[in-house]
Amino acid sequence: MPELPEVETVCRGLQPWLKGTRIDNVTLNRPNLRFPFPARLAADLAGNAIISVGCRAKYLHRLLALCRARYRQVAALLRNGHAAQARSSCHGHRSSRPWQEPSDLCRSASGLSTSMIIWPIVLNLLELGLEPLSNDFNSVQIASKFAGKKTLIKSALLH
Amino acid sequence: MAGLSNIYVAEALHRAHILPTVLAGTLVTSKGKPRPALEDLAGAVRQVLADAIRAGGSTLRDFRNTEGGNGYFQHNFAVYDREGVLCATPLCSGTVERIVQSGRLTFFCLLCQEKP
Repeated sequence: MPELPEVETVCRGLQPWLKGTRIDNVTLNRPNLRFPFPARLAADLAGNAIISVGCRAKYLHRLLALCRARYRQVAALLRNGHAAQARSSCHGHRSSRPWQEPSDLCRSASGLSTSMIIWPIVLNLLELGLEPLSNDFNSVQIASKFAGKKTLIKSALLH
Repeated sequence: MAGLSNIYVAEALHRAHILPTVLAGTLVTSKGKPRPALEDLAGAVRQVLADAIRAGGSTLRDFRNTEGGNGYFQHNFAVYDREGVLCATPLCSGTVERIVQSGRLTFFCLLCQEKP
């Protein structure tokens, strides 16, 4: 399963292709992926631009500008992190026209096809724990998490 | 810690010379301050991740980047999946050992990884 360095690698590769592209329309073929989709999700996403592509732990997210709400489209690279085909699907479209829909990415990248999750931003990615590449990751912060813990150091680091 | 996996935890603990069998709380003083080993570990985690990102991640099975290429950090593993191999730490004559913790493989060097 791809972890933080692999997701960061994919993120950096996708950034120039996704940032600034616009979602024309969204088709939801099922009511949920892990979590129920928010009501009006497709309508809310349509017409919005992807304003950033980033990572939080092993999750890749795209921050979308929305009028009434903001969503992060979170792609958990659960299988093999394949994104090469995703890039080729938008190759040549970048300057001439935006992606038709975000599911272009889902359809063409087998590794992502079962793992695209759209969460409202209220699902706080901060709950995932200390981000090892952030400025907050230091021995004092870790000590506050580890103090009094009787779990093995390896388990503590993995969670 | 968010996003740390078995591979990178094993490599970071090895770089910080900490045994994977120690309890997390032993790296913290009674006043809640980090012990020197924990300072080392924090640096080692960041360093391992930075090195792995620079290498484009690790391709153990089928991970591919956006260009369709492999990651190369697996060639820099010091302990992960290297059971029986000489420890990569300079001047250490130990060999990499393997145990199972919570159902997952753990790799470490018994000589240069210690209890704090």
